Amino acid sequence: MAGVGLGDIVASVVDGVLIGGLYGLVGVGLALIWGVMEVINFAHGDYMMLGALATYFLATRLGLDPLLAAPVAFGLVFLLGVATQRTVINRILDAPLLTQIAATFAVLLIIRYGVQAAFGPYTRRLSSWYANEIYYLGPVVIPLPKLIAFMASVAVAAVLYFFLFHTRTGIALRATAQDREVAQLMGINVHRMYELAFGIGVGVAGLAGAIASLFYPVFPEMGAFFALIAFIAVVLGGFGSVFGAFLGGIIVGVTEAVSALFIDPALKDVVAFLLFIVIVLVKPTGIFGKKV
Amino acid sequence: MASMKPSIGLIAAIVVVIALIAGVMVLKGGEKTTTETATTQATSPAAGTAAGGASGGEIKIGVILPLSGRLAETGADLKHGIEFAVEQINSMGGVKSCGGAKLVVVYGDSAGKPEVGAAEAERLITQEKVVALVGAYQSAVTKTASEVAERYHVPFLNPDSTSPALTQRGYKWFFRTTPHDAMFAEQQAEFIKWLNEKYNLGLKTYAIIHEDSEWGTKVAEAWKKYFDAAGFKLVKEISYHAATVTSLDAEVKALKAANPDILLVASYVQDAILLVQAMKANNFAPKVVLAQDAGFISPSYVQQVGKDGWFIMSREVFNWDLMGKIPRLKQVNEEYKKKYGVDLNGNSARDYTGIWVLYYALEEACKKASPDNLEEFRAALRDALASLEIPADKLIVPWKGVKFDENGQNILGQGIIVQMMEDGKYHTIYPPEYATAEPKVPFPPWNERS
Amino acid sequence: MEARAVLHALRGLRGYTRSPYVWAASLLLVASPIVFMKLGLPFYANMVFLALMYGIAAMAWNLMQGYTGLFSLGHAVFFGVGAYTTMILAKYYGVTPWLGIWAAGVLAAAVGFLLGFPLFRLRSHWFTLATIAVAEIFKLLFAHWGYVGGSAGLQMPIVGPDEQLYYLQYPGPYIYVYVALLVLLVELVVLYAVVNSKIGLYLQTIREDELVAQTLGVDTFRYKMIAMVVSGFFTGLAGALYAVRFRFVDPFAVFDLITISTYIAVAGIVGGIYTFIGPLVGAFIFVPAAEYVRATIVQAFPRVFGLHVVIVGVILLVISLFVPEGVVGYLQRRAGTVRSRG
Repeated sequence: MAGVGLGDIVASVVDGVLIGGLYGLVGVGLALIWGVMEVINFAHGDYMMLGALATYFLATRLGLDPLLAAPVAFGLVFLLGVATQRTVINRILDAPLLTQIAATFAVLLIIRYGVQAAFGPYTRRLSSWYANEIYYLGPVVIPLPKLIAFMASVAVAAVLYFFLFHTRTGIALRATAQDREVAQLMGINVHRMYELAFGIGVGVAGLAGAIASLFYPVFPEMGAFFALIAFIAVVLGGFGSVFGAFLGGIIVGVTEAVSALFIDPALKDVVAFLLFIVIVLVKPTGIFGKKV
Repeated sequence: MASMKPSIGLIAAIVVVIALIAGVMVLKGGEKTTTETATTQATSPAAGTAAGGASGGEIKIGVILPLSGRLAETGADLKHGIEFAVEQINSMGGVKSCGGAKLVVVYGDSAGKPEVGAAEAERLITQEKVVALVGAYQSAVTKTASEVAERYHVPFLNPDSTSPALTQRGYKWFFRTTPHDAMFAEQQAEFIKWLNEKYNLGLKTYAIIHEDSEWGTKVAEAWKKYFDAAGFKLVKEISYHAATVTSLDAEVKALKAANPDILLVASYVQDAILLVQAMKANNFAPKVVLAQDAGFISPSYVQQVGKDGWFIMSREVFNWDLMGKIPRLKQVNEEYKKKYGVDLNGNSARDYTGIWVLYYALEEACKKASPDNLEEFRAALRDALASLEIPADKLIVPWKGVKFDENGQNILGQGIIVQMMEDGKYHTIYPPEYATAEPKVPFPPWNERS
Repeated sequence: MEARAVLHALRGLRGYTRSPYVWAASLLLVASPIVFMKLGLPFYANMVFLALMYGIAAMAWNLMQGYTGLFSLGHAVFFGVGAYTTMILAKYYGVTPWLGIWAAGVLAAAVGFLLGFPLFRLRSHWFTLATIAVAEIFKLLFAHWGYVGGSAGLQMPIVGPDEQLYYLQYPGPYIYVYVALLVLLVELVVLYAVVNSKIGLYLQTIREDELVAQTLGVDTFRYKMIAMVVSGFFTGLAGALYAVRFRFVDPFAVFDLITISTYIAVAGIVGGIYTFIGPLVGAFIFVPAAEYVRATIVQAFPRVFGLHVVIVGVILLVISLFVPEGVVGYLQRRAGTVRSRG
């Protein structure tokens, strides 16, 4: 396409990084669950939607600032995640792949359409004092809600990093991920670790939903697309690698934003999916390799 | 092979279960038809003897709507419009030339899927024996359901789908009361010319952004046709995929770079909100922003968009402020609101109107044939619809009347243009005979707003 | 060799003909359209058609899942390609669907062949995810491809009575039940031949352990490809049945993740993936159940949206947690049979 200047590209890259942080955060939770339990949570995007919905209700009904409501949303989704782990995931840990996918897919249907049944198929939108703040740096436009969302994503990822590498529980979690039997022998309560991993995994997705609600409309199907992107991010990041997934999310965001400059923007998702397939073809272990 | 033998018995056992289920279905189905015929037999002669032949039984209409699935909310609205019209007609004495026969509606849920719509049409036509079908909102569903009706020679009245292709198929049994997207586009081009003349805006160039489903794509085609013919110049066209869009920043930047005088928009709800946010963030303010209803008039959008939605214009088929302009409407709306707690909107008003149009045709058809002879009556109803002429004062919608052309399209329908003002409500600004407010033009830049 | 395999299959299938139940069920299936037509109940005949359509696709899907251990949630690709092929051949080139259906299978199989190269590099969950991504790409590309009607899709024009047979256009669902039964018959013979041949044995070895299979000298790529191509062929036929029956295709209907890809897999899971006939039985359980739940829920709770999908979800969850071998598998186990190959 003619007339794409450097300024446009820079602006698109910034757009992509801002939204990519959010993709990455959804991916981080997915990677954590996969890394520790080798289960793929197909309902991941729907836990994200629950986080967004919880934030919406906390903000509109109780008047909480969305950023204060976000940790509460995390807590709620975390508890739901632990409950899911105990009732569903625990039973399918050693089940064949098909059972795992079918069961988490059933959870997806129940959450997504349960929300539709309970709260209606409506679109909801949050308003906050920072919704109207926008910063301009030459051709680059940065709406404050997106900036906050990005910074919050980075902060959450950083906290998670600290938790995984510098706390006893986090190290135990990583030990479980590396070898279940050995961890058990060392006195780690593996089932507690699984509950923690699944709770934190979907909780982080819920947090991503809470953050997304700052600038993205909240509706029952909102998780579907974010989840698909998160899967791509996880593949890019090398399957179980939590921080690889975060970077993977940013890469997908930038790829989408920049490709929209050169091709029909309606096809930018095709580019993201093709990227996914090309990556698994060229480097099936992902760009950043390793596990947790 | 040895391991095969025991499993044969098992497989056979399963098959027997299926056979049993199928058997029960046959029986249940049979039962259903018998009870149904029993009730009609019971009611029609009884009613006939009681009123001495002056009053008939019932006339069955089949209605196909998205009552479950993503558009169930809209489906419920449409259903209310239909229920309400049927109730009014029945309380006013039913179809008089059929001896006061009451209208009975049998609903079919399309779930928003073309194949379900087709199967429901078959069921309503052959199982329920309806005289006509009404529906089905989504153009893809209307396409398959009306194809079935055409095949069975049953009139299909479509009050609510706007894809121009529907009335380009040469069908003989298909009638559409609502204006379609090409008619809206033509009117929108005229509206822009009118703005230029009246307010001297000097609008010359236009850009289009639309979602990429059939609706958005065909709307964009129609815009290009009529805006080019009216002498405007297209400077940019962008489409996006509504189901997966997370940001419209890149799209808005490209639009801004093209610097159009007019921005034409076809969006659903979530993407409409994202678009408005992106326009604000990038301070993109063309002189006129004109949307093609859908997302922009949905209650979710209107409630949520806040003042970011001010001064955006949209094509509409209906608006609350028409109450003061259409005498019939005010009264109908009051009763409707009493019953359902909400005002009529574009969807409920159009389906309400559809049932009334069908009623006027039924009055004519009853003079030529009896509903007891289903085939003859359906043909008479088709002829009645084809030659129907309803004046504007019998309608609650801002049309010049109802009259179908040879493709079954109502040529007297028209849209209106509304604009959201600082009270957060849409006001009618065009055509002048229905206008309640002066348009606020040009669209003020975002950074100059309070 | 192939002829021998088919003969062998026919001989194997003859075993079924000794069972009076199989005879009864087949008779019932064959008679059902006539019965429903006489009773004026197209709704139930349509249900039989849908169950056959999903059953055909689910059996094909199960060649990859149950026999080879490749879990696809992207079978909508084959279904959609099949539907579009039949439609385009009939609408643009005047090719009769009697031929178009088989062409649809061939093209869907070809798509399967091409997709095998990238997809077989992936294992377990990641293979499943990639199949979803591929189906999404197909949906988006078809929605933007003008030749196939873009997002508006394609509808067959109505033909005159003398061309009805040529274009297979009849009112009601009845005739299409027989078309579906014909396809099913072909599928039963071919699939039976495949799974009871050496190929079937290799496929199951791959399912149990791909590395072991490789060590034993099985060309795993080749046999996975055979499974994919055969699976694609018959899923394409199911898609062709959709196009012929409803005379309409659009990308959102035929490439749908839930109502096509997922429904096919759920039919297989409900029936039992380690059985030959399970997915077909599963379709005859799942499709009427889902339709019934949808119809009654909508009537009982007209303002509650999506509840029927929740119930489908609960059914799927209960089956996958407590009866993971599926209904047919469960019954076979109860009757004391070991896991049956065919």
